[in-house]
This record gives sequence, C-alpha cells and structure tokens, in this order.
Amino acid sequence: MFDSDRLMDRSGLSFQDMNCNLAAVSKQPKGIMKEVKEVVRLARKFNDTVVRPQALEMDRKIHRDPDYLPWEWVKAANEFGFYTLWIPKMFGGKGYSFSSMAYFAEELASCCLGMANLISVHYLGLATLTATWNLPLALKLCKEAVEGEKSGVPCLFDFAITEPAAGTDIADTHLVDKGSVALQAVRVEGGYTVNGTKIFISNGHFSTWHIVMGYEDLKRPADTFIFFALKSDTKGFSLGRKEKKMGQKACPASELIFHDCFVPDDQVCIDARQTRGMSRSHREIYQIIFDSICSSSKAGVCAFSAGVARGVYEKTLEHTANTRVGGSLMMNLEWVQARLADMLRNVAVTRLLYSEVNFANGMYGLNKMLQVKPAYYLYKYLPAPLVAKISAPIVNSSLCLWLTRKIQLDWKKDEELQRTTGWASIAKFTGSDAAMENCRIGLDLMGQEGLRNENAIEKFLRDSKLLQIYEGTNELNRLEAFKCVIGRNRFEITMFEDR
Amino acid sequence: MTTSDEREYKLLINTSRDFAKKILLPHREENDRYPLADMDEKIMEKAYELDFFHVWLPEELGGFGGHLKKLVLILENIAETDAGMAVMILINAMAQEIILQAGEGKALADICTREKSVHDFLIAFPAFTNPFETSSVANARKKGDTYILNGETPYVVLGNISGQALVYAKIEGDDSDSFFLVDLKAGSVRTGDPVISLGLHACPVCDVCFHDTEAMIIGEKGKAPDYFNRMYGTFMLAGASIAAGIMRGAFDDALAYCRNRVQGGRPIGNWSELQLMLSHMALTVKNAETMIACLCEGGAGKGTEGDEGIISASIPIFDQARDVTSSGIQALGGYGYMEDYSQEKRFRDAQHLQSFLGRATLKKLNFLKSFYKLAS
Repeated sequence: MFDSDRLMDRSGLSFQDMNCNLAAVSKQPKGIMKEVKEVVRLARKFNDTVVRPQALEMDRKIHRDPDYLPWEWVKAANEFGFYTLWIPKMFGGKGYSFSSMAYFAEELASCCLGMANLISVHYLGLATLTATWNLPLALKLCKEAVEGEKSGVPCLFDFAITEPAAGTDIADTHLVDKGSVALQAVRVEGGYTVNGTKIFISNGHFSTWHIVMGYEDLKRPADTFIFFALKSDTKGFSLGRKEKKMGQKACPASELIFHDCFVPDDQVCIDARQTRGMSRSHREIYQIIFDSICSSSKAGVCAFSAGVARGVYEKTLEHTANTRVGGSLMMNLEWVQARLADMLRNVAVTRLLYSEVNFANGMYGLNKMLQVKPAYYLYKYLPAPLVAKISAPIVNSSLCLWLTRKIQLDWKKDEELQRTTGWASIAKFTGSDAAMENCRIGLDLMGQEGLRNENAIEKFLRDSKLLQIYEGTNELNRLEAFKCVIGRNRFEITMFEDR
Repeated sequence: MTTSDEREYKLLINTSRDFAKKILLPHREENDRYPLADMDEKIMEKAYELDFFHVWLPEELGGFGGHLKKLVLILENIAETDAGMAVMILINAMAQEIILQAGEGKALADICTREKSVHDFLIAFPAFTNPFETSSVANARKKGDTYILNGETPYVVLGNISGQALVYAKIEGDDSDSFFLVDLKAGSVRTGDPVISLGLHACPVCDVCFHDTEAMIIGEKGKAPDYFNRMYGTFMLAGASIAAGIMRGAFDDALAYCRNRVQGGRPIGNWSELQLMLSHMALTVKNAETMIACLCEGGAGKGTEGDEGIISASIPIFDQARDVTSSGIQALGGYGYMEDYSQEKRFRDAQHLQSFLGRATLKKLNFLKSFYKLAS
C-alpha cells in the first residue's frame, strides 16, 4: 500500500514531521499575521525609545556594579503593557497569540538580548502554568499580572528548575532519577513544606511569583515531582546571590532559597495526587510537561538567536559600507561580500526554524488550544470583559480541569510531543550556533573596532554565548533531537545509558 | 640545549607560574573589571620588578637579547592564568623589537637610562590592527631635525599607562609610512579614556590624539612596513603562545570540572559526547604547545627566512583558542558563563586575541600574498 505519510523520506519520519508549515497553513488563523505585525511594531518603538539609547550603558553599569538591578527597564516594559500582551483574554490579558511572541522576541534581541530575556522569561512562568493545565491557578496569578500593569507595580513570574547540583539532569526522567536534586516538598496538612535552593533563575530578583519544580521523594524524583507557585513574600523564602554573568546582564540570574516555606494546596500547579486516576503515570506526565514547556521556550531561544544574528549582521553591514581596507571599501571585496551572505543566511535560516517550531506548537503543542480557528476568533472579537465573565466559571470548574488535563496530558499523542520537542531542540542548537557564527564573522570583519564596547558587537558575542547553554546545553539538545526525531520508534535505541 | 639552558628555562617557568598563581590569580576577577573599576598597579610593578618587561631587550640593557623561547615560556605560563598581563609583556616587547629592527637601540637605551617607574619604561603600541591596512592614520611633517605629528591613533595598547608610544604615521608629501616614538607625557598629546573592550581587560587601551606633537622618527623614512614585517612572524608566534596558554587553562579547568561534576549519577566526564569535546580540546592544546616548542627550538625568531612556517603554525592557533575556550564554557554549562569561573574570561580573551596584528581573515589572505606571490 502506498503510504503518503512516508512520501518525504525513508527515515521513518512522516510528512507532518518534516512539514509542520504546510500542515499549519490552512489551519492557522490569518489574524496571527496581523498580530505579528502589531507586536513587532511595538517592539521597535520600545527599542527606539527605551532599549537602544540605554543598552550599552546598562551593560557597563552592571559590569561596574554586578548587584545593580535594572528596575527601570522592568517598569518601562510594564508601562508598554508587555507583561500582559500574551496573557489570554480569559485570564484578563490582551490575548495575543503565543506564536507572535517569537517575532517580538527577535525584534528585542536584535537590540539587546538581556532585555528580550527579561520580558520573555515572564512568559516561561506562564507557559509552565499552562503546561500543567491548572487553569484556576493560572487565572489567579494572571489577574495579579494584569493588576500590576494597572497599578504600575510590575508583577512578574519566573520559572525555577535548576539546582546547584542538577542542571541537565532535570531534562529527562532517566537522568533525574539518578541525579542529585535536592529541593524537597514534604506533604503536610493543607499543602507542602518546601526546603532547598534553586540557582541561575532568570528574573528571580524581579519576580513576584516563582513557578518552582520540587520533589516529594528525592530518591524517586520523576515519580514524585511537583510544580508549585510561591510568592516572593512567603515566610522562609529569600533571594540569594545575583550571579555575575558574562553577558545578558540586564536580566538577573538569581539564587532562590526555600527554608521551610509553606505552599498551600491552591498554589500547587500539579502533583502526584492530581494525576492519580489518569491513564499515564506521573513520571510520563513529568516528561510531557517538561517537553511542552521546552518546545515553547526553545522556540524563544531560536527567536533570540535570529535577533542577535540580525543585530550583528546590520552592524557589520554598516561597518563594511563605511570602512576601507588597503584602499578598498570593504563591502566591495569579494570575501567580505561572501561573509555578509553567510550572515544573512544565518538570520534567514534561524527565523525559518523558529517559525517551523511555532507551526508545530500551534498544531500539536501548547499553542494549539487557543489557535484552533473557532476558539481564536471567539476570543479575538469578543470584548475582554465579556470573555472574562464567561470564562471565569468555566476555568474554575473541576470539570474543565479534568477535561483539559485529559486532552492535553492523558490523550496527548507521543508522536506529536516528539515532533514539537524534536523541532524545538533542532531550532535551539542550530539557531544559537548560527548566532554565535554571526558574532564571530562580525568581530572578524570589524577588527579592532569590533572589540570596543561602544560598537555593540562584543556585547552581542557575550550575550549570545548563553544561547548555547540555557534551555539545555546544545550538547543535550542534540541528544534530545536524536531521541525525538531520529531514534523515535526504534526500540533498540537506549538513551542516557552511555558506557 | 645545554644543562645551563635547561636550568634557565626551568627557572623562568617557575618564576612566571609563581607570579601567575600568587600575584595574578588573587586579583584576576577584580582586575578584569577594569576600566570600570580601579586596577591594582602593584601587580604591574611586581611584573616590572621581576624583569618580565625587560625580557626582550639586548643583554647589555638587562634582557635576554631577543630570545624567543624565553619570551614564549613566560607568556604561555602567565596567560594560563591571566592573558591580560601576558599581552602587556608582549606588546612592550613588540615595540622594543621594531625599534631594534630599525637600528635605534640607542632610543631603547635612553628609555632604560631615564626610567624611574614601570610607567616610564613601558612603550605603548597599537597592536590590534595591521597599520598598513587602515586608512585613518596620523600624519607627520618634518620640522628641522624632528617631526611634528597631528591626528589620531586609535586603540593604542598600554597608551594610558606608558611613558612613550611607538606609532606609525604618513609623512606629508610622499605619503610613506614611518614609525615614530612619542613622549606620551607631552602637553600636546591627549590620551582618551580607557577603552572598554571585549577581553584582556587588565591590559589597558586608549585612543591617542596628537596636536603638533614633536616625535622622533624610528629608523628610515618610509621603512615602517619593512620593520613591521621583520617583527611580524616572530611576534605572531609569541601571540600564539598566549593563545596556547589560554587554551591550556581552559582545558585544565574543564577537565577538573568534568571529573567532579555528576550528571545522571556519574561524573560528566564519563559521558562519551563530553569526552569527545574534552578530547578535541586536549589534542588541540597539546598540538599547539608542541608546535610552538618545536618552532622555538628550531630557531624561530632569528630572521624572516622561517616566517612562512612560523606564521602558518601561529594563525590556526588563534582560531583554535577561540573554539577551545568556547568548549571550555560548554563543559561547565551554566557555571562556565559566570565570572566566578575563569572560563568566560578566557573565552573573551581568546576572541579578542583573534584581532592581534589585524583582522583574522586578512592575516590569512596576507599569508598567501606574502609567500605565494599573488597580487596584493
């Protein structure tokens, strides 16, 4: 029998695997295009008025005083309404499609990667709330973010998973069970008592709510994981050191310390009690939630990469158009022209890749629910107060919680999860490597001019190196791509059992 | 090699390592904040006391007489801990070499005679460009027995801490390139604020402006390219030894981390993907060190005949340092990106060094033009 799904190649991948864009073309609402243009326009205005005039000085200021926290940037983003742009209307936000966020992130990153991260990480917290499908809790927290925008006191979220002795371990159930996690959540009446430390948490010092991963049994972390939300004024919670990073200095990497913190049940995003009765095991749900979050966040890293690649390309282009070497205008030298073409290729390929992950997430991932055309247009054109009024009782109902989790976690198809995770991993390591390549080409073409902080290229390089590390090192992401794309359905394959 | 040579090399290695570990290391992070924070000048003074800045001088002026191996041993061992200091030593020696190549040993002797401090002794030099590729240089006008400089020389390494600078300028009328020695304390010289740069923070840089500044021509008029090219091969190798030292430091720290850091229940150094990364690093570092040692033993630095071999060996080492230090960060993951660990500094320093004596790609193109006689 002729199998059209196997048409594209012989490697066991389906048509949908390799062409998320084509699959999405007829199903994606056209309105998303308009939203993309709107948010890019907003980002450009923000870059022109806030970021570009201050980015280099901010970088120097934090280099001079590593403890400095750029609250003025947090507040400026709040005034522009950036912390509620992608909060769904049902939660009181402006309800822009998640797909448009990557284009926004690219635009900001083309100017300052630290600022792009400062805003995007807030939505990583929201993505975690969404991935656990605890909609009542998401509603509660998002209302505070909306209130923070109105009052002028920003309410941000962060996402805390990395621990001093466990970074990469967290990414996979196989690894985490053998790893050295230490943030323990002990069941007590009405909730949990939490002890431990998280490190490298982006925006930790700015966030009101911390979305945290912990474990009931440190010897069986995958089977006993728990996600919870903890407010920064909780008794026993404190902020530790602010890391001294090589780049992305505007976005603090924080240490979060939990000492006998009480987390009430209504702040638990998900735990083993809530997944009891589902057909999937708690450890399978660990992987689904983790991969769903990463499918979104890695698309974001790829968008950051496209922004950096473009920012460096534009600066270099300008330099080569105005600089002479050995009497010739640089831009007229063939080797320079070829390098500029390489740089533009890196911008284009990186943008295509995050777009593909966007398509995958819209078709099969976290973005799917609100990008189905009827839901999209319903939320798009109904007035926000009406949406909130209609949604609140539904969102808070136990039936809704049960049904969304049934659909999103229990009935989630493995191949759909592998598709989004695999593409996200490929986009992440390809994009960040491309961004780094552009920085290197830019530095070479600009010579000693590129070494000077005032010309921005060296900042792009320092900022970009982190793209190859966070959201899993590129080495780990290559293995994730193998697991989800190449090794899929090959039962002889083992992962993380290297000898 | 005689036993006394061996003893001398060993002594140099031990002295430079001791200096690096005891003097540089405790202040490395704090000095890396320069110029946005103060620099501890005592370190520079200590390097001066230990004669590191004298090493290239002729023996009669207290140096080792242009002994490349001795310079390389010092640079490599210091760069392992902090490349900033190694580059300071390198740039000063480069300026001395150009002056010697131009037959102006007396000018060096004068500097040595009147020196009262490390500042008086150091010679600044714009070493992160190839002077003959740039279009904006200062110009010189003859006035009696001397010359008058006007214009700007950007990115002069050691410019704001040295008593004098060796700069190049075009002489009005015949447009030829010549080197000039300038007193940086002269009232007609304006040194700009320290430039904030990608790496090598402990090695200060500034722009220098001349307004009718009296300057001494070094060597013959229009001969700057000759003197520069005679120095080029030897000092590319000396620069490559700094890159090799940076790589050695990055590899040693990565290896130590991978032995101790546990992932999935075992040291990360036991995972084959990471082993491959470490293996690439080890091979590259060892290859660079071996290459540099062989070239030093083989008489590099004693004329331009062997420059093809020296330059062909040196240029790739700069590229390799860029890649090895990037892997050095990857091996440490998030920790590698933090200033508390030295990997991020090594990464910046290695990237910065890529521009030593000009753009990396142009150095490669120039190599072909120089040794295979293609049109310039």
